[in-house]
Amino acid sequence: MILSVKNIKKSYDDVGTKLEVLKGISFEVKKGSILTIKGPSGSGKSTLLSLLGTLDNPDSGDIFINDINLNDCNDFSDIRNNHLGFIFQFHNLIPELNVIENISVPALISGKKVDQDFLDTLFEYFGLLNKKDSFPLDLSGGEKQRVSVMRAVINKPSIIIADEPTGNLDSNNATKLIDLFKKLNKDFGLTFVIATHDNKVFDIGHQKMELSDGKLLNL
Amino acid sequence: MNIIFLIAKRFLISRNLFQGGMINLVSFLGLFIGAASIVLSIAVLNGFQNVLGDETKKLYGDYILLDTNEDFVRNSDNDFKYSPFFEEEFFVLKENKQSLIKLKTVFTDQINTFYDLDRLNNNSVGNNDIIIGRSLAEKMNISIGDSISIYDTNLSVNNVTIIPHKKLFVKDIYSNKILRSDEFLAFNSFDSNNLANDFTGIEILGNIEGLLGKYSKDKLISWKDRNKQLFEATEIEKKIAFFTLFLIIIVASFNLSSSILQISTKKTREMAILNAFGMTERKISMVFLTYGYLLSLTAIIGGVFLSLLLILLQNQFGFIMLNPEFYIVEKLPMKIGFKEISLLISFSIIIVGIFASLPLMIMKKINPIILINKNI
Repeated sequence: MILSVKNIKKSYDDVGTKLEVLKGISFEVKKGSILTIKGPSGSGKSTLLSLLGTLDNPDSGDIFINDINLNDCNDFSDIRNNHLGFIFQFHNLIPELNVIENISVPALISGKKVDQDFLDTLFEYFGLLNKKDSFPLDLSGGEKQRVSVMRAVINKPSIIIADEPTGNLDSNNATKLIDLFKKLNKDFGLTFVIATHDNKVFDIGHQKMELSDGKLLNL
Repeated sequence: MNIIFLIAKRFLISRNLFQGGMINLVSFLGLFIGAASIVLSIAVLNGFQNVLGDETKKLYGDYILLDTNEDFVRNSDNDFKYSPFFEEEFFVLKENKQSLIKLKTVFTDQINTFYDLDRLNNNSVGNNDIIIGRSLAEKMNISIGDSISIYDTNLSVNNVTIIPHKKLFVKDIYSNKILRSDEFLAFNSFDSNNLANDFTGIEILGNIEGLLGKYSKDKLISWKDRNKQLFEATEIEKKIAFFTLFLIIIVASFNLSSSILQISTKKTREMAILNAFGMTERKISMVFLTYGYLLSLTAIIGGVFLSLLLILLQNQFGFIMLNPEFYIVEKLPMKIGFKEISLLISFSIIIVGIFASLPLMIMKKINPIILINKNI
């Protein structure tokens, strides 16, 4: 299993009362599969993804990424850089960097040389060959989100975590992005964990789950 | 390219040129002007100090050796010129004017070979001749060819008159404005026939390395030590100028702090993204520190280069002219050394480092995880 989550719990203080967001969640994700999670707003999808992405710590429970127990790690930088890729609802590109530089950020952070062949393949794959030197301001919303997906996959991470990836796109661009996820999964064997409201995105999951009342249900 | 440098560079010079706007521009100009002012001021002070040294050496050499054993100097195997001399104070009286002079008696040939006197004529000087300075000549109304009498400072008086010590012919007049020398220093010559019994000392010009270990500092005195008060005054002036003008750099560094603080608060979202992709907090801080250094060092080095160019042009073409009657030289002298520039850049690096670090302390309180959680 590339991702294994065992009985994780997370709560927040809400004006003096303890708000339990995740009440003992467990699941596993196989390498090369897509897990889609849906649930109403405030159900804890983003919290769950933050925990999987090492951006926050659970109150209890274990998360294993590639058999590494996150509880045993002090510094998550390496995990985030080499094992995880993030796609946010908003593209979150760095406006001062051009497309090629934005995509290369994870590789440059790790100090690795950018895999030029892979980069060229991605540009062709994502249909952005003529946008290499453009800056985010010059791109359309769909193009920006595709660039952010390229940035997420450039280091060939074990898992790509995407939270509402189509939330800020029109239906045409959302469809294109969904197709890309499917292709990336099929052609490169990339693993996705996607939280979404969008049923079209939800449907591409090999595993589909619903988060409700702090519990995760298999659908 | 290194990611820290790449992002710092792009934050500084993006398509929206000068993200920090006015604050960046003010810090840049402050550091630029500060660095240029320091280099130019020090260069002028150095220049005058150099003139002071050169002019002093023309009359007194590099060193004076307070040892009357000429043989020792003669026998030492060194690359320097030397001139044994005898110096005594006299009064010069002419009509109702009087003046105190120092008469330096040196070997005849040394007047031309050792000393660099800016003389009106280059007349040869005999035992009964004297070369006086232009200021003394003007003050006492003495011309070349006049004869003057010099009187011992312990005046010899008989019952009717003052007895002159010696009568001398004014053979030449020299100019050297340094320390008002040409008002009180006069030259006379001796040769082996009228050699003084003992010298006051030996003036030396050139490389004296071989003598440095043999004589103590009170025996072998440099021109700087002989004119200690004046030289130290110029040194203090240089230090005061350096530190006063360095205040410009310190004030500009405050602006730099604001600039970094502004850019770091503007870029919290980007910091969060970088953190999510695995950049450590230390490296994120380095981005802003690099940003600060890029801005400041570009300004400081730019300022230094501009001032070096101005110094070069001034030395080459003499754009700023001076009245030599007051300033000894015709064009504003400028000289700067590698040591001074290194000192300026080193001090600036330290100051900028301190000021650039201040906003980073505030940044540490910003948790990128909270920001990314809000954005995810």
